[in-house]
Amino acid sequence: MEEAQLQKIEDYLLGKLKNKELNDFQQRQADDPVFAKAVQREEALFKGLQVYGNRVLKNRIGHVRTQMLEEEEPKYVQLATRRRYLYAVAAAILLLIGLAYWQWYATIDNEQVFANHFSPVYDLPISSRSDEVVNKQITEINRLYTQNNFVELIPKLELFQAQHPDEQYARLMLIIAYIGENRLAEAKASLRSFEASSELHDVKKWYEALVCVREGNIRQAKGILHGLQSKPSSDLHQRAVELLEVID
Amino acid sequence: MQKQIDKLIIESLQGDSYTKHDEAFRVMYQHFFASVEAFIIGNSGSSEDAEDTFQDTLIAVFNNLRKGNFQLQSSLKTYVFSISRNLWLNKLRRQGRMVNITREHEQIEIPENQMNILVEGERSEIIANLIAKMGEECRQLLLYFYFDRLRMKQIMELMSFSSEQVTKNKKSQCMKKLRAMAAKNVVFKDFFS
Repeated sequence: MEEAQLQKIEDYLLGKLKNKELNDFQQRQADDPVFAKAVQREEALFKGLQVYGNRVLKNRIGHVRTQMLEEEEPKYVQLATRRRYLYAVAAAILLLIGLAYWQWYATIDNEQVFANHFSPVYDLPISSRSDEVVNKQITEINRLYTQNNFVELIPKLELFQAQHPDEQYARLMLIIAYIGENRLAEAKASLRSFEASSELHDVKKWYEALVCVREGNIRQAKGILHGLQSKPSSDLHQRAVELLEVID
Repeated sequence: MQKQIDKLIIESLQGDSYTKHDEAFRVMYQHFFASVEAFIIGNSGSSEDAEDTFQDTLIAVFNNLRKGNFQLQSSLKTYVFSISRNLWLNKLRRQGRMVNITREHEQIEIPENQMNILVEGERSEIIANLIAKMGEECRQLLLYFYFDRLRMKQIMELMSFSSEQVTKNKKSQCMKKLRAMAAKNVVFKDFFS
């Protein structure tokens, strides 16, 4: 198709055609099936671009939200100093509840269970790009990931994520690294805003369960693991069964 | 006061600065999220559902505000709440989980064409995945032009191209590349041949 025609279709799809131009365009669509099909093709690309844009935007919004949640933490410290007596009472009550809870789950050492089951076993290679600088960045990230060097990996992945918000594997790597470094607030915030593809859905669930275990939130971990256990076809099925045997 | 905040948010989202968009999203979280979260939790949802629905709402608001002919008929808070409410009810309906909905907030009817921007058909999904596989330069350029609706001159400056014509040519090449990628995909084989 000629460039001029493509330009006309683009103007139509961008809503730039008005009055006579628009009428002529619509008339041609009705009269010329070849032209009508070309319009359909370009429209499909437009819609795809919209969907892609929405995905990138959702990542950006997720990033804003993560930052907001991180910033909220110091406020609690300030509040605690102002209302320390009230908080002391609340802490005492919580301590009692915690003791009861601990007694209930006395046989479970959360950190040990976590350590036994956490491993970044998933091979998550970020696909290479045509850009040489980006490729260098990816090679370094993959190297640090395979070495479990999360301390150095996290800042590199955070930067990469900001530049490539749609890269799902990098996002998951970052979550795993946060969990490995016990940065659970960040891991949870990232998990919350992570729109996993169907391929990575169960993997996401698995790491959500591990965060719960590490936090000592056994009840929620069980809920997630039962979900994975009920899917025998899932790669995570066996792992979920094994972890449930320990905490159930 | 609220009107001023609404105006500020709308102007920021209609502008071209990513930083201002992010600031507007932040203000919207601060002012509007609580009522949406309360509604969703009060109607069979969780905090995670509320976070997810609110993010989709912000995307819908962003896209609608950037349409040339958009007219806001209520306060921004009512508009945001109404979109969130519709999105959440649609989700419940899709999951066959209809419940008696609480009616605690002012709400307005949202036209269908302001909601369906978030519906991802199979074809659009595939095209979006193809775009994600393109080189960094093409992805960014196409995003600036077709999603952010920036002018060629702005794109030229942002991406350090030497002229508007070079930017325009580059955009045509990227679209050509995308058409070729789509033509190779089995779903589009006949469509693009």
